[in-house]
Amino acid sequence: MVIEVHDPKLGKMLQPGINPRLSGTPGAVRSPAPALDQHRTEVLSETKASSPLPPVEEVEATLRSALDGVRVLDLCIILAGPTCGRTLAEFGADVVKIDDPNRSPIVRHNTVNRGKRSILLDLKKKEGRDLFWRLLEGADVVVQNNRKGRVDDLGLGYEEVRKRKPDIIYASMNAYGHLGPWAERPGHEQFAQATTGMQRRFGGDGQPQAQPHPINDYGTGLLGAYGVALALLHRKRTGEGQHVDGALAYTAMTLQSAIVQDYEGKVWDEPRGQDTLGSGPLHRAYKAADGWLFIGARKSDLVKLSGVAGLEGAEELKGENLERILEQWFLKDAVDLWVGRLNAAGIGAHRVVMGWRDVMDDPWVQSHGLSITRDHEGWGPITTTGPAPRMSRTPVQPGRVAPKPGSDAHEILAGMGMADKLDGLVETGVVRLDGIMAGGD
Amino acid sequence: MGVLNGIKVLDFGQFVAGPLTGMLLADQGADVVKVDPPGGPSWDTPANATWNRGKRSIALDLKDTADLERAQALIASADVLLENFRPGVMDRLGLGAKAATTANPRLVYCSIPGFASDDPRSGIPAWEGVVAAAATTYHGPGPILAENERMPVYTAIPIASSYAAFQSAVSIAIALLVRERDGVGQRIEVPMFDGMFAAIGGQRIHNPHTPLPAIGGTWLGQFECKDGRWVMFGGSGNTNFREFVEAAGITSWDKEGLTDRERLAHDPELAAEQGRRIVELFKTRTARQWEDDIATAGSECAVCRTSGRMARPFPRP
Repeated sequence: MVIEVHDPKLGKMLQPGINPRLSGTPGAVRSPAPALDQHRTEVLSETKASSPLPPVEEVEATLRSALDGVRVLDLCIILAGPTCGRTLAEFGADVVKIDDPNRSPIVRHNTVNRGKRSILLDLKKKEGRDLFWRLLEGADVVVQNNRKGRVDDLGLGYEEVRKRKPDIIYASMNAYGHLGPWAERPGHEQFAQATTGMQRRFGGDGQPQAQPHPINDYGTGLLGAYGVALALLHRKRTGEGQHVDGALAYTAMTLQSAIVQDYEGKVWDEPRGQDTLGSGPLHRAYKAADGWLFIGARKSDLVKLSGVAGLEGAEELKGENLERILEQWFLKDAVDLWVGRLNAAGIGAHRVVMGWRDVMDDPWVQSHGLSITRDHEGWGPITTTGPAPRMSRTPVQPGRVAPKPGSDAHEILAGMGMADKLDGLVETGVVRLDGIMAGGD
Repeated sequence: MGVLNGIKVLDFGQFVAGPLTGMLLADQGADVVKVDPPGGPSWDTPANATWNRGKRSIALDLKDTADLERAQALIASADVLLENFRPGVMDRLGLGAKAATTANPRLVYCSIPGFASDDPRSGIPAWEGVVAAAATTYHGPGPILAENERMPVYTAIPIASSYAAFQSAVSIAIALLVRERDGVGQRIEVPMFDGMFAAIGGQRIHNPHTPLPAIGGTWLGQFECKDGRWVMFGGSGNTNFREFVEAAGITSWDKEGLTDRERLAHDPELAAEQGRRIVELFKTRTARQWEDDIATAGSECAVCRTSGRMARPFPRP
């Protein structure tokens, strides 16, 4: 979670650790940050040695998606783990989401389980585990985010799974990682925020406060997908599988990488508290006549700022004084007028958007697939977010709408030639076909 | 060793998103060469010690013909290129994605602009705060106040930059995997604004979900303890509630109905009494005692620490 690095400038220091952690290919921090231009000679000499490939015409988008043929079993709950499987599905993996037939509703199902197939399978029953082992035969990846020990108790932990399928890639995500005395502790988003300083910083001097957005949950899902992709690359080359260890608290440290390095003489002076509007007079929110705008600029932009109608003379001002005067000036006009003038002058500025609806209903956002409204079985139109990365040859896809929980059982069993077993499995409660709801927040 | 051993990355990244992506690759074994202007990185911050760890450094003046040719030679033998300039900057230098991937078809070229190249806002200097403001990151406390009365709340965490970096790392690793299959690289663009939608996630927008079962009472949140420190406590809505009740020594609340969460949901007076009691309850032990007692019992409670205490109590690898 945290590593010690001997930095030539800052001395012995603590930095956020390696995230995610791969068991077979753990990576390393091989050296501290270099001095500027330290490797000029050797880096340039390497270019001479290599012979560039002949140029080719641009290659058209391929018909095969990036992860075509990669099969994932997703045993995850809540937000972090399911986001990992969803991300892999966006790149084209076939993800089978296995949910507990006795746990309803499934939290934010429509958001985190789009692009997957769904089966409700009781892994506490032997017949349920038997079916899991059958599914494993065709799987490349298992993803789970139960509390450490829980999957082991079911006999579905990494060690058991690799005995049956040695080249499996098995990703585990939990609250505090899979090493040390905290490994078995339960926890969710708020606990990663509490233990790593996020809540104290955001709360300021008063009660610690939660950051908006479950950033550790979703971030852990994304970094878990990074770990799985790395492991797939390694397996492609060597045939070896491995364990990927991700955690909300690891992600919390990575998310705070701009702030948390600790060294002799460190001053913890980052903006904190519930009434903070920015990191300085030229990177903060200001109230205008009809709302708030955020400006981003550097000291060297002050001349440009002074050229904006209504801000003449800003270049003469400094620090607190600049901030107070700008506060008064910005109040005099509407947000859109200020943003237009500032942008025209080459200064970064934007309305501070307060409501999710404002961005989700934005036409550009919708036309670029970042906000998608589609019919969901039994619910009608539902809006979810969509994937951001743009890949020129293997475009990502939002995938099908989140299936009605349990609705793909027949297809999944038929895929293994077991369609005739479904009725029996339903009768004994091993598989459930409906009754589990897609849940809200 | 790392998975990316032998993968040559040219990291033109500045500020946060680019260098952080480079760090995620370097940590996993990639040979990352950081390319900076002759005066050094555009942002001189102690965080560079983290973001640039494990990298090598070269300074190139891309406005100088000789250095520009050196950059082109480096690109010709690279596996991955990272940049987070404003859209158009690399194109104008002749180092844009199309030119680079034509010259080196095996190259994976990843651009991480603030706003996408086809976003009407692509020309705006897209500082973290500007993009984050556009993407609801500073939306402030709940829906209590009307939109025009709400104050934004800034966060020091560069969420937009970090989310773009995370999604860039995934995309690059997958593009390298595809290259093993198809033999060619590709162009990737992960705009910071677009990347924020992964963080926004599901927020009940046109989303008539089934609500979670009603849970009455106050069982989630931050509570002040005997020693003035705070704990985060969340024994509700999960399967560990009874473990908490027993570890906290409040089984006597059962007969008063104070632990009956369904009843609390429908009895405001009882819920108010439970709310008062639990605030008092946490004042009977120190924060650290609560953390240990509840965790030992298998439920959820942790001291709200500062980042300066980040190394404790977690193990260091």
